[in-house]
Amino acid sequence: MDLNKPTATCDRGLLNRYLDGELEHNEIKTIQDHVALCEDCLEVLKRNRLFAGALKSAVAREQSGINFDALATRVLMRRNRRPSDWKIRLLERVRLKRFYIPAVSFATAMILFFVVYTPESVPTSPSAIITSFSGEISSVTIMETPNNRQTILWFNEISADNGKAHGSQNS
Amino acid sequence: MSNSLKDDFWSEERLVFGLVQGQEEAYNALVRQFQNRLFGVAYGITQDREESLDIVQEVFIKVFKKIRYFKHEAKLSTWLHRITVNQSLNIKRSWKRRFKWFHQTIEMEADVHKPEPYRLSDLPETRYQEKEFEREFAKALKELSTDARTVFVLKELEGLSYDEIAEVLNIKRGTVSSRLFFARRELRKSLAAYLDKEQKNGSQ
Repeated sequence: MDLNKPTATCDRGLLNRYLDGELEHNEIKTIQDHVALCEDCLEVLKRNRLFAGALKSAVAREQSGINFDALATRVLMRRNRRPSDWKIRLLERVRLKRFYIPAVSFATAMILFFVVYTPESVPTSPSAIITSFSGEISSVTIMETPNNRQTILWFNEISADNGKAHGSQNS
Repeated sequence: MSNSLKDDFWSEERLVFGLVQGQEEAYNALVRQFQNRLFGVAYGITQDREESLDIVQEVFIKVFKKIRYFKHEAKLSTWLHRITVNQSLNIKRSWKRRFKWFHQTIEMEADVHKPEPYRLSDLPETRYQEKEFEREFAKALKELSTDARTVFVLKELEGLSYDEIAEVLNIKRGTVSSRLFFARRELRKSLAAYLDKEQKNGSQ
């Protein structure tokens, strides 16, 4: 017996709505008359009622194992220690995964970016002093920078009267 | 909290009025009156006890925060049902939870927190058959789509009408009817082998 395939005279939709108390008065009479004669529909009705009972008892069994007094106390305590509205909003924002998953990903991306991308450092001092000589009146230093191999000549003139230094640069 | 307060039943109007006014007793009454039912709905949908306990707490916290925006054209219970259903459906299942859902361990079968622990040997056959049916039914219920299971729970557990379910889920009345039809048909299909066998044994 296949109880899932209604025959031409069996209306399982109507039977369903009958079970749910969603039928008009005249429809109720029709379905009751039909069920009285149709074994298949009667069995479907019985099974559907059995499922309703099974759901209720499964839930009741779970409910009976729960200390609802303790649950109520927990809930009410959470309400009582509720901080002001802006604090709640802030806490929620912090708690929300949808906020901190993107935040953490962004931070990771930034760290990776800076680890991988380090801009070439600009040399602040000459890489090599090729030669340097000094005398009583002036001194010349020839230096080389790594990028464009500029030769810089530095004249350091010391005037005889005040001892101040003057520098100049060539590239 | 006194027992008289615990047993005191508040009408929806009184509850809403008290909640909007910020009356402490109204909050107590709301939690005491609805926690059991809302747990039932959450459990029916998620089939997970711990998850359902979390859901119930979150629902109340949400209600406390949003009671100011409660629209009086809807019933308070409809509003609570809606929040509970949404919370149950939106809950993001972690891998651990998914694992638990699909892989019931032996320890879970023996479930320590369930009352009336039983051993097969000291139970009469009928009791054993009942337990066997409960297990089969729980499996079949889990196999239903979430949409079908939600409608089924709201109808069979909470006894809501098609119109009330339609309002809770924001769907059409016809959709409620067809989802219920589908849910029951699927349950019958899943349990057909078991029930046919039982029927055969019973008629012998």
